[in-house]
Amino acid sequence: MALVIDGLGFAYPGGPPLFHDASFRVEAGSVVGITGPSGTGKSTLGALLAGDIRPRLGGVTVDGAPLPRRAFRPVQLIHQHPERAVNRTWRMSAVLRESHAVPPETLDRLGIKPEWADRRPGELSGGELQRFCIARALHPATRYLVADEMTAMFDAITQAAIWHRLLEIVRERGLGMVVISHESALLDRICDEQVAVETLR
Amino acid sequence: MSEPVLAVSGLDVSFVQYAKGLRTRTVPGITGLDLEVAEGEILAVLGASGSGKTLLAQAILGILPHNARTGGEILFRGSRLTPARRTRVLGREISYIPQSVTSLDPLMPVGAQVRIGLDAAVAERVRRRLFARYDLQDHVAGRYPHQLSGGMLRRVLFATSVRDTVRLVIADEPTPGLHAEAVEEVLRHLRELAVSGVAVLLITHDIRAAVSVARRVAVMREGRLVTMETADAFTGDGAELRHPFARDLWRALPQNQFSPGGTEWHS
Amino acid sequence: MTTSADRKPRGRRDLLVSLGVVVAVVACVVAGGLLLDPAQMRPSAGAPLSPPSLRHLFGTDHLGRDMFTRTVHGLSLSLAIGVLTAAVSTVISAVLGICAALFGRWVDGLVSWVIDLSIGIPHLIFMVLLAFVVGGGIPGIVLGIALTHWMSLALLVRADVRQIRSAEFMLVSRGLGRSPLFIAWRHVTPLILPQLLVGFVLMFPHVILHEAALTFLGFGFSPQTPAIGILLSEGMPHISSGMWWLAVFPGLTLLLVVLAIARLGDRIRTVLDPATSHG
Repeated sequence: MALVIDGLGFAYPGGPPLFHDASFRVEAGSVVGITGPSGTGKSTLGALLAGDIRPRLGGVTVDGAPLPRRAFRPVQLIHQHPERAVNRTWRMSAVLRESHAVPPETLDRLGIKPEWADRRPGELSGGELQRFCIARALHPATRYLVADEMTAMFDAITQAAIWHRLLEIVRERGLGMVVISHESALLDRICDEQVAVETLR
Repeated sequence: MSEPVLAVSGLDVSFVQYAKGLRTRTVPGITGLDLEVAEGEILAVLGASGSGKTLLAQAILGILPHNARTGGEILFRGSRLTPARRTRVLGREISYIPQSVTSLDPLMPVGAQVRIGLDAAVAERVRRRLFARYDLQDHVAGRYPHQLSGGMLRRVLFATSVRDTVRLVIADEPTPGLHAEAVEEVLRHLRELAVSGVAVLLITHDIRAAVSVARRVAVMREGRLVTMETADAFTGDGAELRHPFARDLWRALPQNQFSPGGTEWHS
Repeated sequence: MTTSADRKPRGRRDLLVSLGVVVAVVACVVAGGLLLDPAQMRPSAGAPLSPPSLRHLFGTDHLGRDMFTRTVHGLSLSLAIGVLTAAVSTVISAVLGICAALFGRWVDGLVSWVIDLSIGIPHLIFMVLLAFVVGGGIPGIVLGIALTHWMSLALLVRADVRQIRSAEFMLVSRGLGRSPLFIAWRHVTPLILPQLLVGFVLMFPHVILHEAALTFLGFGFSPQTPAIGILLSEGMPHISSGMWWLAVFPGLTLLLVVLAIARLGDRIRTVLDPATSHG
């Protein structure tokens, strides 16, 4: 049971190769950090893992199966800017429903207040919105989470609160987790192992 | 003590917006803010997004959204920053270092961008000196932004902002998303500016950056100045910090207790 | 900085004023169409070619028909055709614009080709041709105008959707297994609705003027139908002989209706545009 990246090669059209024959694996139940300076392809790697973009070579398999293209993907990506990851015309209840009927218990554990469900994204703070994005990603069929600079825009208290609550659920469900961040102290604190993005090029 | 370069007193910023129908409401942005920055001092303004710290920069620079109302007073070198005075001093005595290198003009060679606002007679000479100061080779002047690396672009950004006549630099979130060495380089440039006598207002949500470079740290939350701390107090378990919110912020850092709101958390 | 200028937002109030004017005009036209005696439009309802008077506000034409009644009827016909045509045209723009931006390179190429082709043909000739092919009457006019007015709005929609396409919430939706149709309908449509509304309202005056132009040229309706274009073309020969009211009043009322609606469209845009929405 693992998220496996095998012989992955990728380049943007007309650009130099970003990844060449990159391989690593994320065991279910483990938290793996991806480190590296900005502009070296960390976010691209996240998008590849989640199936938002497709590799030129090699592939990503989830517990032995390739990522589906047109169905629910068991690898869910949580973005850096939650306000861009929700449709601003939707109410938050619809944002959650697009994924699944999130149990009230999960909402409560993530610190989402019931009255926020009727609001629109513009009426919530970034930290509050990000909790919704996390709840949405915690679909019953989700096996792996990829957090791309998930708390980089928030103050330290919000960051600690969000990670604290998410990791508890991740551990309980035995999910695997990939944490992309430039903040080494954060990775040191929450990751079982770390992979430098430079080693994948 | 000499007169502060920048003195903000009782600054209020609010926004008039439509509520339902034709009724309008006033949404507060900054409430009753007082602060001063002295010559050669770096003052860090620390706050999360939505705390009002960016509005402070916009209020000083006069670039608030057009539905904003302001009250209070902003003094620059002892006299009020009126719109007329602002046009005279912006870019000459007050300079702004934007958050992102995307603020550079992608269609203009970087050398030409550095020369903007300089007297034509000396522009090229000053440009050379700034390039030397920021460790940029001369041939780089003819290049366009997309031909340069991220690190070089950040140095170009400093070169476009720094002038001999500058007395106040406002740096808006110059560090997020940068790795440790790049952050260190940005902070070193800010420190050099302060040593040369410039007052620096560093707006950031990065506590470590703020603490490592500033003497005093102003902590903002929901449009108010919560507390003014000395940078030295951000140490150990934060017991020397005066305000509980500052203590919570410090303790929530992953390299400290990583505690959300005061309680220790074990992974 | 110390001055606190009073910056009360005005956008919505202006919009309401404009909307009030348009509603009042439309209500007058509709009420007039219902209440005015159709007998006034028959020949010899009054003395032929009598100038404006209290009995005949806009005068009478060469057959003695009351011009006020005919103008009001012409306007209500114009408004009905305007609504129908602008709606058809907006739907075409939305569907093609969304498909072009969302459903791959092949569809985009095809839609772009059709847009280029349609823009390339001169407006009026294309309309006349279509009205002719469909066989005149209301269907001919509606189709003729609708099929020649959707292109620029479709281009705007396509550009908007291209921006929305790469938004992160679209990626998330796909990752959650949502179908392209769900994404087009639930995610994209609400975001371009303001654009469509503005497009619809601004297309309206355009459409009415072209309807008048078509009927002026004699395409579409039989000469006894009181359409504004027909009134104008009938009135033209009489202007030089001093019977100014035959063309001036129908033309002027048409102009006023069109200006009121165009103003409304501009103000809707001001309120909906994020860059100016606070004003």
